[in-house]
Amino acid sequence: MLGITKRFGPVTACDGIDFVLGRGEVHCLLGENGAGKTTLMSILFGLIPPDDGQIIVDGTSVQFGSPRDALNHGIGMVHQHFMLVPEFTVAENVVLGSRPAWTPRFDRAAAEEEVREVARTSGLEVDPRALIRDIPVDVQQRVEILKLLYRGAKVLILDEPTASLGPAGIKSLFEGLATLREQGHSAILITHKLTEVTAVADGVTVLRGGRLQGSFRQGNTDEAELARAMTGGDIAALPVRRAASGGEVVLRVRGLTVKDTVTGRNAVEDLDLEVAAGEIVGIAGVEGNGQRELADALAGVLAPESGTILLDDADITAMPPRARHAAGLGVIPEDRLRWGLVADLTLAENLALSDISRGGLRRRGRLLDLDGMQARAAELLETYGVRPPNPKARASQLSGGNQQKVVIAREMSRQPRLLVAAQPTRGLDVGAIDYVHRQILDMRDRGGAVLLVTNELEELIALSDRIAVMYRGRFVYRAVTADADVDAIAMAMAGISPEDADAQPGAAMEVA
Amino acid sequence: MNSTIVISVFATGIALMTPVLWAALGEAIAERAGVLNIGIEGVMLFGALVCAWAIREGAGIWTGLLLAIPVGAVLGLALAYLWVSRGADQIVSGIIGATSLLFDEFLKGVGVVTSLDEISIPLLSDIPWIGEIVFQQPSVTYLALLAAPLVFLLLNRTWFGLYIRSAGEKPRATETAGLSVPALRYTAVVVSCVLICFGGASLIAITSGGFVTNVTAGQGFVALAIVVLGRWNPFLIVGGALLFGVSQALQFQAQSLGFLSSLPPEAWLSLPYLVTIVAVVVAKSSRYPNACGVPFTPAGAAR
Ligand SMILES: Nc1ncnc2c1ncn2[C@@H]1O[C@H](COP(=O)(O)OP(=O)(O)OP(=O)(O)O)[C@@H](O)[C@H]1O
Ligand SMILES: [Mg+2]
Repeated sequence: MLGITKRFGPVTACDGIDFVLGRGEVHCLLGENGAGKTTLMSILFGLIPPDDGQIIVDGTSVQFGSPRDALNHGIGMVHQHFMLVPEFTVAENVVLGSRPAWTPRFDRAAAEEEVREVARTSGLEVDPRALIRDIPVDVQQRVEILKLLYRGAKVLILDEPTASLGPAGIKSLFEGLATLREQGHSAILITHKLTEVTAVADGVTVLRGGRLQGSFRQGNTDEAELARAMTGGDIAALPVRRAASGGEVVLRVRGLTVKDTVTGRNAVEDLDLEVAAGEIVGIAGVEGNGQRELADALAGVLAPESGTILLDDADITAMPPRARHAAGLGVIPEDRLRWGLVADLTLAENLALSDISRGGLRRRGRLLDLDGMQARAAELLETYGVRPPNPKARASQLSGGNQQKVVIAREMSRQPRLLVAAQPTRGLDVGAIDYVHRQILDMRDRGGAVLLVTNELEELIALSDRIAVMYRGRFVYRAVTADADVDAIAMAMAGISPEDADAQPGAAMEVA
Repeated sequence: MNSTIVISVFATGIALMTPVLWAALGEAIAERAGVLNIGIEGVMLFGALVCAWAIREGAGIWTGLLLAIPVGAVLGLALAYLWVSRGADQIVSGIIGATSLLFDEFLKGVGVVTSLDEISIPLLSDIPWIGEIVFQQPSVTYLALLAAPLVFLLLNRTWFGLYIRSAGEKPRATETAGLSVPALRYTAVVVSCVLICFGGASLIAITSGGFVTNVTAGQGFVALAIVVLGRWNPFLIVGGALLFGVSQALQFQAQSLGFLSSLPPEAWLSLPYLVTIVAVVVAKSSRYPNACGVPFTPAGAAR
């Protein structure tokens, strides 16, 4: 790709970017939130037409009008948000869009057989007949990759593929990529995590603010240099954590059972949990083990089967979300586009949502105080480093990481008694992660209670005072952070209890 | 009730379900593709009008029925333009579409008295009970019963069906697979409107009346409910349509037999509609296709 430029109104998302990928290479694309990574790759995949610049594949200049064109040249992309039809089977999702010209009939059995074959040769195991909505995220990701391989893609673009995976999922993804590389495929990996770059990349390209910062080869660079290229400066280490102050209990959960709305199984089973003022309790687990349902039940968007939830000794089990907000609950939901933001509203409106329902930001009784909304939004966007800091921009126009920052700004600025933060730094760049971590620690030091749900082990250990690991809806491991053992946590996440591990040391796995 | 009455109620019920069955099958196709076609009542009315007009002009019932096909396609194109290309809010403009109801003011008095004859299927119609109920029906009814499995095959066993279902569940995924969501939705809406319009025409063809003001009498909206009741599955939709048809037949019987004659006729008239509403409410909640009613903007056209 040469001199690629793309403008969205006043924002220049890509500014004359050159990008080179060799055959059989795994190449990382690094950059802060809003650096233009997704935009650049969407251009390569034919989703967005560039304003300027050209794309050259195998020596010939090409123009992609649609993803189909890109796929015909062997280029395929897996999006930040998966593009799978949840009600379809794995096989149906994979073959969608590759109809053989000679028949109107869709032969499900043949499709399943073909998908099984591609899965076998590429080493990406899946059950072609499973419904997408029933399989865990890491398997869904495999399906996304299979989709591309099935259509003959030689170049795989993966947009933040590790953001939603636990350590085990990341490990198997990287192994999969290694196999594919041996078979002659190339991959472009968008990521924020420097450790991943050193783990898999042959080459790295760094973007900042829509501009190319540099291209590096593995071995000729180190994490510090990449971090500087990304952020334009160095990042200070987190402040030393003060000991938890050990205040009164703010959240008390007793015997909570929550059903999975789709499968009808118990996603959370008979769970007890307490979070005190001035304390951060971290919950870890591989995605799909009930953490989301726990957070949803606390937020009030999923009704529990049984059990009670007390906030400051008041029973909020049956309260609707708005009343919970009023009672001092702040929520950073995992799926920001679904629960956190209204994509078609402006940032000012999104930021004001919870205030309005509580009667704030109103003028003369019923009317909205629009100027007040704009002013406050501008201030929040500035403080939380959202780019662009324009209150009038629509939420859907922001990059993934910046959307997350808006949700965090809204929830944190209300100074809640209890903050439930589900994957709060998913998709954020290093600088933003650092900022959110500081905010969370700060809130704790001011006497707030925090329930942190995360599958980033580093984050879990850096922030939490106490740790619990969820597996199949129950806590299988609990510890005070100072005494916690990283290996034991990782194994508990994979459902291996310490005793089993002792018996078969080979089962222990590395933590990325 | 003696057996003749039972047979007559069910036989009439099957005939009377014909228009809603056509309409509901058509609607299911549109909704599976993600378009909530609320113009259904208006489209049926057009079908009825065209058919009645053709008959009055002496062209015959079948000409009227066949004429409804191109008319439905044109209406479908117009509605698809509104919903798919203009991204108009499907629910709001659907209601506007339904106000083509107003048209019928101009068309009053297109009177016809003929209707399609029943066709007895040899042998099958001799089966006791079933024969009399199912196999002595007008041809459009047989066609409708045949259309149900065909629509099922279209939706579940063809590539086109797979495509439009994906466009109704997660259009962004359809697009990334390299398909055109607008083109799929256009096709679905046109096919849908052809069936619906034909259903409207069949209303004239099976009842010996004429085109009177509001001849469809809300049957389009009934079809909308039947789609939900039938969970977008053509076979279950036949069941839902049958429920409506039979309660309509029951309503005629009850009135003519004069039992419970103290009840005002309006109460009897509303019976089939009440039955349908109750059935929808009682049937455990069913799930609309995820993207049903949500306009879709292709990514290239400025997200
Ligand atoms: N459809 C759009 N309309 C307006 N602005 C847009 C649109 N898409 C992207 N942008 C802007 O372009 C810039 C680059 O966005 P992009 O999504 O490429 O960032 P990114 O590097 O992928 O960031 P992240 O790591 O947060 O996902 C951002 O400032 C974003 O607000
Ligand atoms: Mg991005």
